[in-house]
Amino acid sequence: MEATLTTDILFYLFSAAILGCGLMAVTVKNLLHSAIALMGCLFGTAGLFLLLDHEFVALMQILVYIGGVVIFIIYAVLLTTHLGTRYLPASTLKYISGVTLAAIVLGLVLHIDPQATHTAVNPDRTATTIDAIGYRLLDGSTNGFLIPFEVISVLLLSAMIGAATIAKHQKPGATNDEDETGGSAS
Amino acid sequence: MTLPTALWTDIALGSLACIILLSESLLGPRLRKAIVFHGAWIGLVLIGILTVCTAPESEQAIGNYLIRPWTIPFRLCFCIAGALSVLLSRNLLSGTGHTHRRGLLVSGGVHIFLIICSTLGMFVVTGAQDLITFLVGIELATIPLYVQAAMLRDDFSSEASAKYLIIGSLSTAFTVFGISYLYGAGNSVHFDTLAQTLTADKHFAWVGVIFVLAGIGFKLSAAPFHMWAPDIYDGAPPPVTAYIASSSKAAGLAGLILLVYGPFQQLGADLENIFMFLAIISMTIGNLGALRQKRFNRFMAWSSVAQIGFVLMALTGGDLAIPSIAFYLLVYIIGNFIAFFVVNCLASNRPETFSNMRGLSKQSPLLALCLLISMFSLAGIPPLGGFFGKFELFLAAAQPGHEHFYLILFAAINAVVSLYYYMIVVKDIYITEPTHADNSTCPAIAILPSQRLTLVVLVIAIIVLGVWPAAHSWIFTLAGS
Amino acid sequence: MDTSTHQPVQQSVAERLDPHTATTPLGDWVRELCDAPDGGNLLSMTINVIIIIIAICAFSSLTAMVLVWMERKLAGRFQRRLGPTRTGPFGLLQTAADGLKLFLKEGFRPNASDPFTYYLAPLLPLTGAFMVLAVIPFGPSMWIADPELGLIFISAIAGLGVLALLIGSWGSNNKYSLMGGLRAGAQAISYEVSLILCFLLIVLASGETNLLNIVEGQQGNFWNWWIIKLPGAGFIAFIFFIITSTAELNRTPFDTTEAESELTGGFHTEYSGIAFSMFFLAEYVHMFIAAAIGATLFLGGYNAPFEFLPDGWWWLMAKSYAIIFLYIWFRWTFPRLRIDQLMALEWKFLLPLSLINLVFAGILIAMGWIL
Repeated sequence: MEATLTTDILFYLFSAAILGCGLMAVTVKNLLHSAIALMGCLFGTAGLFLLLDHEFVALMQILVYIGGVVIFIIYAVLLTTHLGTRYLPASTLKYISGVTLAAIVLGLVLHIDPQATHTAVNPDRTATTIDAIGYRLLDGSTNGFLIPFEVISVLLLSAMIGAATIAKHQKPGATNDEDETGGSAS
Repeated sequence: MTLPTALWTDIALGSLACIILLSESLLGPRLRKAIVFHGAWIGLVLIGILTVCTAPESEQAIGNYLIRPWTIPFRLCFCIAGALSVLLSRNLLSGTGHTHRRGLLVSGGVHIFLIICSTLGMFVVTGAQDLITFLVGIELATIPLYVQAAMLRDDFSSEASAKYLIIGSLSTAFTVFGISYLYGAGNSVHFDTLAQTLTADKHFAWVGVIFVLAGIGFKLSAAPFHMWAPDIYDGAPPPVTAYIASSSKAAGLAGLILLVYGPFQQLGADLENIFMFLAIISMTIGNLGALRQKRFNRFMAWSSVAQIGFVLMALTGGDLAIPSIAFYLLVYIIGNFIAFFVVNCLASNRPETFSNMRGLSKQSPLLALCLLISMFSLAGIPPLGGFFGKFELFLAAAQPGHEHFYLILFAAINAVVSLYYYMIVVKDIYITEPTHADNSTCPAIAILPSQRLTLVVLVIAIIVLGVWPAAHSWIFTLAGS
Repeated sequence: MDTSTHQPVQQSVAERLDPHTATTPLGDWVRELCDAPDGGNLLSMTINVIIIIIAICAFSSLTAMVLVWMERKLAGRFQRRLGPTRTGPFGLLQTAADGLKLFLKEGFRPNASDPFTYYLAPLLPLTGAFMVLAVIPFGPSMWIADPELGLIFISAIAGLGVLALLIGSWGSNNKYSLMGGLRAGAQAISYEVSLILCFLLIVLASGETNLLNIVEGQQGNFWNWWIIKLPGAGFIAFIFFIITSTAELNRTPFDTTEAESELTGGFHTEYSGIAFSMFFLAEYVHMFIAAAIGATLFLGGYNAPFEFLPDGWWWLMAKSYAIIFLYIWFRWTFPRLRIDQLMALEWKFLLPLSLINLVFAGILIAMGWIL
């Protein structure tokens, strides 16, 4: 991607959005507000992907993270809190440890030689078009990801069945009364 | 594309999961009870036998999925742990006429289905040849466990599940973050390519390596990533606890070995230092934690932290590491399951604290003897399997070229410390007289016939593994050494 | 199957940022004015973007006005009344008058509500609507953006529509609002699955995710539209699309979100004045968008039903308004579903059948049994 003034402006705009929203997400007291800030952060990331010419990744970012994950977070907040809920205040110790951890990670990343040139792993965007991804996923050769693709379906199946099982409302009167009386004797 | 024979186990495992799920949802109650429970454990045992029978001489690949000879004992471990976990859940299933202090599992069929799914995930981990498959396998091995931990309808179970979910997600986040860095540093997700491109002078790679190790460290409950273990061991249903303690650890270790001898192979000495550090603090923290416990499951959690320390010590060694870890894991899994079987019998009508175990030798000599053998094995007392397991680990760490004698000395001291707390358990069950209060609240102990049989088989197995050299060398041959 | 004539150009971001690359007289004129005939500079781009934004705003307000009038007129007719007749000819200016009234009303906020979420929520639905309007091809050279992944873009943005309802209902601090919001969330998440499966069927059939290409692939006579071209499967998918989009729009019979008889006003109970009118406006713009997407995917978009007739935006409008008529007809005909019936309908009926239909369509396509 050749850098132009417009893309530069957009890059800084998105980065500012990510940083600002990210900071807001971790500092704001209200849980719903942090979820909304997280949403902004993810939108910024999607924008960056778009700037890098990876449309599919950007759209998946929106579809999966904002349309899925954040909505579920917000849903959970809606179910568990209401206005006037007292949120647990973060203690100073937690702030300090959080900031220290962030500083360590920052140091680790900065420690990476800034002089080294990191060529983009995959500069051509034909590799991330929806067709290319689809073919790659269903490719059974060493270059493809057929087996993880299939295994993911088992993963989703087990997660869904498991979730449905533990969420299932136990029918009143369906407790194992008879078992309880019979069992302890033996 | 021909199907390698070694892949049959994975396919059989997937089919078994389908069969269990379908029979759970379609069959009538009587048939269901038989097929789901007995079908599952017999199936898992058969798959274990199949694993050994189809063990390949050299690596067999289908596309990007690679079945390596050294993973066979690990796969065997997963099958054994899965089958034992199914057997252990017997008195938590409805319709058996038995009951548990904490109630019955919400759905026994789904519980068993999830065990098999999780086992399949572990199989996938051992077959992974790229980071994507690796990650998917680890997730499939872990996510069912979050659900299983919530399978009892009490607050402890829910709490354990929630904690496990949060910690597990955190560890996954670490792993994924690390994988993204590895991809950036190595320009590939394939292990073969990464093995060449990840070199120790790449700082970029180290960020990835550290985060991936941290993620797996959570799965292994190696210190300093161990804080979740005691609560979850205590709160989860007993079969799930046993499964997390055995199979999940084995899968994490298999994954770790896969990475260390695959993509990380050029990182060499620095990686050894990391493992040395992890081993030392795991042993120390695990031992210190275990000294103070009052509840059995929490005690087992801390002891597992210490045990993982010993295993990580072996990883600093050379070629002997893989077979020695495989052998140790097998012994460890059997020893752990004996303990959990005994405690599960106890726990069906009383809280599993040490004070409730006093006088066990009088109430049920069989259970007391089994627990004694289990504790001796975990502590590493000859002639039981545990001794040889630990001995091999020490041997691996002392191999020429990797002579970490200070580490071994430190580990030996820790082994002695661990002896102390394992003996406390033995003291409680054999020597300490129960106080009046302990005695009056405890009804008789019920042991199901199937569980009694399993216990006897396990005890024989652990003695055989210790005294019969052929068993020992068989595992080593399987692991390709 | 027709090979599509239009190929989305592999453009760089900088090129794609200028939306109307030499397609309309107006855009060209702006570019000439700014001394940038071949590609556009920052100034021409900014002006063009502003023109587009104004166009979208004007179009959506106009659409909403017409639709509200249409709904009231049709409601009247369905109930053997006349509907609005007084303001303007045929009561056409009734909506404008209503809008003016809403704008002049005092916008107040309940004391105990949360200002941030309360004021954020009304802004979101229209934002999403504008974003989707930008990718709908109104005519052969009448579109604002033509992303390769247009259909995925639409499904991604459509998933966000529920956010406003969730946030606003929580911020109002009213139990009826919250109930409405929770229902809206459950409903939207559930029905989105079937909706995307309907999209997927079209992607499968046309091999395209680009909306313009999907429309171009349906050129010719009306039996080239996907609703007929895929025998059976297309029609079933269209029916499912109508059902799920009605649910996504929260319209009767799926309007449990604002069920007046149970929840007073649902998620917008506490909204008044301009904030309420934003929700109201967005609801009708969304209705148009849903109809336009349905027309684009299943009914050939801007293509004329017969080859000898000229293609153009009027066909898209006609088809969209036909679907809108269906939506309005539903509203005044069917009784409202209970929330559990709603969920059962999706998870036990629509989702399995959509999957079966998808497999069916896959077989048809694989065997080449396409008209």
